[in-house]
Amino acid sequence: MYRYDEFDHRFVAERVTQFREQVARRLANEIDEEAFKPLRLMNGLYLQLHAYMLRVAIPYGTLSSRQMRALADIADTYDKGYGHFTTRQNIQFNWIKLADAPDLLDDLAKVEMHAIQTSGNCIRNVTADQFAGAAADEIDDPRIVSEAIRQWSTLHPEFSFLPRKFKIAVTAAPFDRAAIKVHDIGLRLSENDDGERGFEVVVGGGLGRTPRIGHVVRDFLPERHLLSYLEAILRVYNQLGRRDNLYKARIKILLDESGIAEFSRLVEAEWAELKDTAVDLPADELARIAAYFAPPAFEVLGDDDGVDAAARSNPGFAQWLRANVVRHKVQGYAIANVSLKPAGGIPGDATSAQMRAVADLAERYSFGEIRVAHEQNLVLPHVRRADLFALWQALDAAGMGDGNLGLIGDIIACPGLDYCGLATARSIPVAQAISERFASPARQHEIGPLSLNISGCINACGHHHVGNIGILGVEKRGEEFYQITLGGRADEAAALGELIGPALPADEVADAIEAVVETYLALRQPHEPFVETYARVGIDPFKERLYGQAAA
Amino acid sequence: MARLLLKADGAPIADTWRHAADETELAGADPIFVSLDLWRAQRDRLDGRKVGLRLANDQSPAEINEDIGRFAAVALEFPAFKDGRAFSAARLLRERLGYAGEVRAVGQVLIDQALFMQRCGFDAFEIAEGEDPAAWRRALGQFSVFYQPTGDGRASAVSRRHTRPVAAA
Amino acid sequence: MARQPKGPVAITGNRLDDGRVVYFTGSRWSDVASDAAIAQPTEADALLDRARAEAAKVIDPYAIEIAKDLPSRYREQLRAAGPSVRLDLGKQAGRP
Repeated sequence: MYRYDEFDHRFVAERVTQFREQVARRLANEIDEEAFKPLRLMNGLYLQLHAYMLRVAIPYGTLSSRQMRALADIADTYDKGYGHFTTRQNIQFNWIKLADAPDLLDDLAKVEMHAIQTSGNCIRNVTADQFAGAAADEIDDPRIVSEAIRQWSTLHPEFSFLPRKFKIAVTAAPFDRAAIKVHDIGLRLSENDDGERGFEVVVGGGLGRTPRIGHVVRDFLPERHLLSYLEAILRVYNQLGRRDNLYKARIKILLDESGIAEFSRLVEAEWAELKDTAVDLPADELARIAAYFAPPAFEVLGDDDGVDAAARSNPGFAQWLRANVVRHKVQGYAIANVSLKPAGGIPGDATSAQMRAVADLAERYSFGEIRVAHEQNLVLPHVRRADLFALWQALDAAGMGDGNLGLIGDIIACPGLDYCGLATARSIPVAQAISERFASPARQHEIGPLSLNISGCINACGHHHVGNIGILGVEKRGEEFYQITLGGRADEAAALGELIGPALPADEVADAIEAVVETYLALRQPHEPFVETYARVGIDPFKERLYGQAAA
Repeated sequence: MARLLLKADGAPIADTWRHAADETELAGADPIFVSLDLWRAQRDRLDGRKVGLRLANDQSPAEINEDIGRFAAVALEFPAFKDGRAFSAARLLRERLGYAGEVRAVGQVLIDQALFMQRCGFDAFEIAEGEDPAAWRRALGQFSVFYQPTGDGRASAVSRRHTRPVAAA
Repeated sequence: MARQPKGPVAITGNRLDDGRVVYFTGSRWSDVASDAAIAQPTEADALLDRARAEAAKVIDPYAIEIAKDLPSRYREQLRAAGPSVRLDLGKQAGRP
């Protein structure tokens, strides 16, 4: 993984010094909250319901064991012994004091981490496929260009006061695990017929109040022109994105209002001037970054790994193996997914003890490398199959052994009104009720792949629009109500969920989900996952089951 | 409201410019800033005078293009500090149009944006009187590493990483 | 305030240095909800003004409606207590 050089180290140190001074000025009331707020947001520090929340950047979801241990120490030193892994591959600490933030950032800098631009109207953390470097279906490791984009976007002087936040995601596989179609810019690495490397560029995806699937603005952008092209897009957005209405300020609205053809024309015209100028990354810089992502020293392994025998004798392991273990590109290895979704638990939360356990296990079993998925689970990307059983036993002992990856128990949920100042309703108790209802691993496996996403408000940080089942908390007459959507997908066939009917009170949601699941099970064809059954039969059977009548 | 003018290094200087709000304010001493509309309407009358262009932030330097050399200075507006459109305008002025005169930030200009502004090509800042130039000077010198090349003449981190020694003649 | 509240109010905000929820007692700020001064609707504006005058170390004080000694809005009940899903944290647990 990437390691800071002298420039990166000096940069974060200068940034912490700058922020320390800004905090001192704020605490001395030399600047007011209005002027300070964008500054602290650009350092990932939110004021939430109970305290300041700090969102630490985990670039493209990659962490070393050493960094994970540092996060555990931060949780214990500055917070209340736990953290929350987010739907953008970052981690959040909920109980931070402003006065402590500079020291905390110093501690992060020591392990080559920061909280820069995890909030604010600027370019946010670049996210990427959590199986990068391990997936059997990728063309190359998407984290190489992700690191190039990260640096280019960090304290970019022209793009630090954009109309609104800006999110970029990168995938390098035909199966899109990075949800690129619902990002402001989504990039899919590909190779053209001449063997040239480049990107399909998708623009204008996003969730929130006005969800949109992104549009392909360029079929093939040669890799060497990535940064000049991004600069062109951002410049057009910075100049023309709406500034008069917070809810119409994302690039997706600019695309809506100008149309794809006109938007492309503007970008291409700007890009014609920027192409091959100094912003484009020279080949030797790309090579320098790429060297950090060289594969670890994989052993040559046979297929006699003992996994099947262990599975036969241990049903818990068998379930975990079936759901959480993904094929690795190297023979004898596997991608092991670590569930942060125990039944009845808080999705994505991990205690400092759990963080340390994962750090140790990563060191022992995964070359010291960990990933954070936007589904709020962790990944050990390079585990020898022969080690899977021992790994699982250790995870299970630490409360992270649930074999529910991609199943109904693997709920994605924002923190909601329990923590978040923007929320209208709580999300976590709904997640807990549903995961308890569907706790049985056998039942989860019987239901099969089913993504369930919960957002506590229209900002959609739980990505409910792209859940196979989506749940949105709303407020009605001062009470918490929940709208249910069906049929969303975040992958290469991205789609927005359809609203099934009027919002339900909190205590009816778990029953409603049961009803949806039962309807699916009654209608599905053999091996047909939920989302495909839904595509085939439409919303009416579900509406009828829930509300007693189909649409007119 | 009294304003203070700082140069790119944070040093305060006397400001000889005034802003002409409309044609009734054109008479009088130069140099004066005029808006794009005023310039277009009063171009002939302003011939031979020392004039600067004041662009609103929904106006692009491209609207002036080859005429830009006529202006001794360009003022770019920040109507609210959150509105970052003028950062792009400044870069276009410097890097696309090759403008070499003064580029001045006017409006809501915050010290914490100073370095971003300077990197984009601003070399003068109109700030509120009472602000501390020493603090601005510090803010402008707060970083020594920059990830992105702009027209500011600095070597980016990328170029510093890969500087080749100059070959012997 | 935009409109006169229908019932009694308290004034709350977040403390600048640690972000914790605080309540105006009438003269100072306390992180104990039960210390909050309660104003009847006609005195609400005056209480908010006094709170703002003392708000050098508090961010954005605002009025919340109180009914039967509890904040009316659930969101404010959560602010006064802590997360409903972690009863071991926050003011409710003596771990503010």
